[in-house]
Amino acid sequence: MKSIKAPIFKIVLAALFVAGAFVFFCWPYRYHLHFHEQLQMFLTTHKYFVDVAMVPGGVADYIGRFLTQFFLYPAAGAAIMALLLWAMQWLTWRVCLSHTPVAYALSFVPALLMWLFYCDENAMLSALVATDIALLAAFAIDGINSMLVRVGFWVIATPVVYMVSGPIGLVFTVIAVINELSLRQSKKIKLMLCAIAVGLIVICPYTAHNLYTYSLHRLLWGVHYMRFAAFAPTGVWIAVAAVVVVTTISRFTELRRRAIAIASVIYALIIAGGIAIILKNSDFDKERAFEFDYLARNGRWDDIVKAAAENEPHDQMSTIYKNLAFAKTGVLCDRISSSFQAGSDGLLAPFGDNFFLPFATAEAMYQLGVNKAAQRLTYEIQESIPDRQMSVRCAQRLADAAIINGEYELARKYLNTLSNTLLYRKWANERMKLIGNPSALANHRDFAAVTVVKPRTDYFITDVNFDTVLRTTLADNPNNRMMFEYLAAYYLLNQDIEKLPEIMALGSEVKYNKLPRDLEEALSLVWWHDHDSWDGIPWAISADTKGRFMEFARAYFGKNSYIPPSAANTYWGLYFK
Amino acid sequence: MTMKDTVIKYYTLGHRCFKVSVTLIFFCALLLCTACGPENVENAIAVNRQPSIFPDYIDVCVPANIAPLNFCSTDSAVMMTDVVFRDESGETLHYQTVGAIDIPVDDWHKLLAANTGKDITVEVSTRNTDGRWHSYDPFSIHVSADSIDYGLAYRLVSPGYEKYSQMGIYQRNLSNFDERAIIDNTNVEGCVNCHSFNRCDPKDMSMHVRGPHGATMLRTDGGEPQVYNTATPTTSACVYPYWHPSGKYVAYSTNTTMQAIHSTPDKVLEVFDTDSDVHVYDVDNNRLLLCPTLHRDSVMNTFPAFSPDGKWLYYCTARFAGLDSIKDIRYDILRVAFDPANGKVGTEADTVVSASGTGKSAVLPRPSFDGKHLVYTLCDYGTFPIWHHEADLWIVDLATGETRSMDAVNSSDTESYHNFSSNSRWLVFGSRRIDGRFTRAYIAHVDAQGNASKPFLLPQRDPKTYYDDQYRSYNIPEFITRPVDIDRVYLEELLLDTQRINFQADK
Repeated sequence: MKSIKAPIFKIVLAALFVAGAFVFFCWPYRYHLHFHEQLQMFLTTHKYFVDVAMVPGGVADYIGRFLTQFFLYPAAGAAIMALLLWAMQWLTWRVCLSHTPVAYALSFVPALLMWLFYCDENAMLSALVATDIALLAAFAIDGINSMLVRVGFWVIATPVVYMVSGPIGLVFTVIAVINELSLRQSKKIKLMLCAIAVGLIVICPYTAHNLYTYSLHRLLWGVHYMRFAAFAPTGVWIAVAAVVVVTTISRFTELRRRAIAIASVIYALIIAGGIAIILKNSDFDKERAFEFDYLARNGRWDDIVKAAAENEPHDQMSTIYKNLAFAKTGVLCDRISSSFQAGSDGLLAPFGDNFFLPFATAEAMYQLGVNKAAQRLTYEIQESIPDRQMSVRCAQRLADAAIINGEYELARKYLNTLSNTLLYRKWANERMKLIGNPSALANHRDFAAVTVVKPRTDYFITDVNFDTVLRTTLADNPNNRMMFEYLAAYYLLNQDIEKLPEIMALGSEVKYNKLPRDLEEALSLVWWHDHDSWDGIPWAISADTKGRFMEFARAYFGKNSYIPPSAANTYWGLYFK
Repeated sequence: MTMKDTVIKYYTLGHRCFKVSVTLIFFCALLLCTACGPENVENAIAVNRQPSIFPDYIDVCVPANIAPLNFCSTDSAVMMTDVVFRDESGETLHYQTVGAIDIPVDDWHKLLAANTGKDITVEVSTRNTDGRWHSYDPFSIHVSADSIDYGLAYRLVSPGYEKYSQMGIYQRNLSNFDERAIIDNTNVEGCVNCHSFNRCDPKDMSMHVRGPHGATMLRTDGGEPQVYNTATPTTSACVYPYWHPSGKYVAYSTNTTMQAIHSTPDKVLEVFDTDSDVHVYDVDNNRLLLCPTLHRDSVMNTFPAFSPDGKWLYYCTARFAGLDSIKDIRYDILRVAFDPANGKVGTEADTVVSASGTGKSAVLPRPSFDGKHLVYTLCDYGTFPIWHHEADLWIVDLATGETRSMDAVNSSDTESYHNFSSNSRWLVFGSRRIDGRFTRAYIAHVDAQGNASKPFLLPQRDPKTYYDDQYRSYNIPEFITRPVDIDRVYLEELLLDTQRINFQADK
């Protein structure tokens, strides 16, 4: 009993917990943090504070957003997550009615449940901040000796904590009243305290409903705990309920016999159960898509190619980024058939229900130099972000797009806003120097490639005419290899290969020492559809491809559409599959 | 000592320190306030030009009951701005500030009320980074004898393509800076749009909500709002509304609208109709009266507006030229007789503005309520001029038919949606002159001859910060003679309910 109560043991356990959370968020879930960071823009202005903080739960939300901006650096983000989770555990322990070894073990349960909640990429940090604030208030009130002062304090503090933390703040009232009920009071007083607590818990959200435009449902569940207003943040409420349960049952854990053994079993169960549940609820495929997104956002095309080679992604977003990375490294039409594909939607996807996926298409369009399409998609993404926050990533891209378009006042507007952030101020000030300076723009490493494409023909860009977009831009820029390969890949993936001769003519100024492999294979197919020899073929098909095609043709056309194993990673294999 | 005791100890200590600090700061601030009055503008360098300020309120004409015209210097070298408002009698208001001046509302209104019909001279001096004061040529603000309505109602919406985030219809008191939501889409998911009032009076109001809770809210004679389904078996949902002055009819258009973005940088977006008709809704009898004159195949009619005497219905008309010829769609403004007794429209239409013949498109006709003029937007083609940089406001003298550009209000960028105040002396319109993308509300005085003064940007308490941070456009600014007193919570409940009153189509 003595040993388990020793502070060192608690410190070791807490350190293990913090280290576990840190490693989790810094390593397998590091891109999860980037996902959060890019979808908000924390401003240091007074107006931003007023806009965010002056709603129920607004201060917690403001603090959450302040901390989320540091998710730009995974180590900082992981440290923030680990410390906030540890604070929750420690405060849970401190507000327990009884400080026994078993209670200490149980105090990890709510924090682990909260950790589980944060495996969801739409769980907002404000929920954890709100919980910590509520628990801190409950802890602070515990130090007041006079019952009258204590009750007076929590009556006054309840609406304040509700405003600061939102409905999670009401857990402060619940814990405070449970604390009072555990003391030796008359039944009458206990009943009165219960009535006051219930009254406060009901009055706060109802009053807020009349003051703010939020529905009662949201004021009861929490306005900013989840990115999607339509979804109740069930996970966070389970964790908060666990706090109440743990603090309440802690008084029944004053075991005199076998306390160490019981506590050890609980520790073992919590550690094993916690790891199992968290790993089971972690979506590592999604994290992988976030990784590709992060690499693309930072222009790390070689790293994407490398990551794809090590572990081929099978989701649409990663596939778009992978193909973009192939194009940026000049191998797109060499790798169509030898890597996973998702049809032409794996090149450029129309805007759908998933607000995040269009970042990939927008990035592809931007890198292709179709700036207007990238601008439009980015704008749509900004408008689709479920919690209606401004996205720092969208603002950066919209500023860049405006600079390229020559919309300098518009660019200045976005850059002025970005200059009110902590971490993008320098970037904004650097970009400001490019406004009205075309020569600096053309030589800038971020713009040099994307500004060489000049849209000359005016036509309408829609979500369903990607081939028109690519064709027209290629016609305006006939020596643009990336555009040519994207258009070729579009037709290859749609198995629309009869259009290839046309685009070979359109992209006649694109110079190759050797045509890309998939293109050669597809062109061979096109040629042999109307001819019975290689004579007169206008494209430089290599002898190797010619030989392989003849071999494939003999196998496929001679033996009831048999695709030989040698054609597994060829365009013919993809086409006839 | 337990950890809790330690925390309490430090908490108490911290609290005491905090109290002492607050007290010290308070007394220091008091000392500073009493010791440091405005600096004297001495040995100022005379700058022989007027100051560069935002918003540009130089030589504007304003109503006496407008909110304070706070402004700031746009020169980055300016460290401090000194502004003196001086009237003919020598009365002054004097402010010295680091950013935008913040004129107290009451002081401002007193000054303006005492100078109705006269000019107020504004003297601006700045202390720049060189440490010297610089005095600029003074400019004037003319205080019109014509009053302005209580406020404005407008939609704040991101100038997006298809998706939309936070949006709402808001009302703003023009005498101060109070803004309040009439409705927004926080609780009612969807797009709220096309608010319309009867001659600026919100006792008659129409407004649409699109999306999962789609409906048209109608309110007549200051009563409770009701929600309708405006689509009928033969017509699609109603779009652009305009109230008949009697309050008995609302003219609506029904539009099949598409949009696409341009690929070249100089143009942004095209919103266009492939079909549109105009109908008149009989409010008392819940009948949508189908008008054969305004409902013809291959002809698109849209943007209806009644004349102030209620005897004419203005509208825009064009022929649909096909999806490949969007740039060839050009609208003219026509009018047709309207009989308020039975809601029937005439069979012969008069041309009010013939723009298509000159290679232009005239849309959004809005007659002044005194019946003398009609203002419209002229652009190169199409029906949605807010995305056309070349769009300008034009005015027609309805007595002579003469039409001319309103040069005083137009800029090098977009001017579009506009309407008159109830006394017809003020025109509110949207303009994208600041950044080319976000529409802002401007107000200009229009005299009885249709001559406009230089417009002024809708005043804000801290205009630079406000407009810099505002990423939503002012859409459809309309004057209102009094606050819109619809209970928002009640309206939301109505919209969230699935019950709708169906428009009945006339056979």
